[in-house]
Amino acid sequence: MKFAAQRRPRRSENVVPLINVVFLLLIFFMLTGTLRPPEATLLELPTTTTGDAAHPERGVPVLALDSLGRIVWEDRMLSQAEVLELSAPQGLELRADRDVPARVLLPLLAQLDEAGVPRVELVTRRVR
Amino acid sequence: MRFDPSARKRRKVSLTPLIDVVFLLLVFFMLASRFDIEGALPLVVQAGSPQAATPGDFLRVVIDDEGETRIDERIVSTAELVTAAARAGRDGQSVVVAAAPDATLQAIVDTLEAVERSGVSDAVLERQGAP
Repeated sequence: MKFAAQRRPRRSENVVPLINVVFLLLIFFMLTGTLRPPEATLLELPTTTTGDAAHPERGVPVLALDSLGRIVWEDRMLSQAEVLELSAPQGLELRADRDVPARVLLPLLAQLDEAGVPRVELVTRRVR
Repeated sequence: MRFDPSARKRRKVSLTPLIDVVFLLLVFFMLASRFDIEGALPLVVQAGSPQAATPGDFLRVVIDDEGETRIDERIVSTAELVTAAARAGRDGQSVVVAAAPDATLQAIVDTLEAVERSGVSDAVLERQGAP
């Protein structure tokens, strides 16, 4: 009879502190991180130390340019000629690799200008 | 003595499914969250033909193939570039950044950032780039 009484409290292990900690972790990850779609191609964004941390506007289309010069527009690979045909009346967000040479970048910017894109925002990764 | 035996049973709600769901949510947010901060830098390319502009009404900053910044063929440090751009801004000159073919985007971004830090907000990229 005595040992039967001892076994009972040991069986109901207290999981409430565990849930507390897990909830805290959950809230931490939900608040500090941002959910963003993955990059269209393998990219390493150029870094900046200053500048506004203005997170890029939502709803602006994304043009990705990787270090090999491949252009991705809305999950589709574009050729050089197709760049002239794309329409982005509100401007676009350029996510380009930091190692893209000017010989690839400048013609692309000129083409976007000719295509009538009013505004090109380069996305950078901010470091301290 | 009124004693309801069902009151005791109702208190024992199983927490296991709740923990399962919370763990799943936790793993999802841990894997899907990204913590890097992104910034935006406007890239403006020079309009029209550069021949129209006479030298002297703009400051031309050249980024060479090695990523060095040059003003009038002379390599300048970031601090010198900021001072020169600030002086150009005071004199009402615009700043034009010309990048050599092999200059990387990171070098261009560094230069544009230095120009922006000097208070000149309308630096443009030269359409053709430096030879």
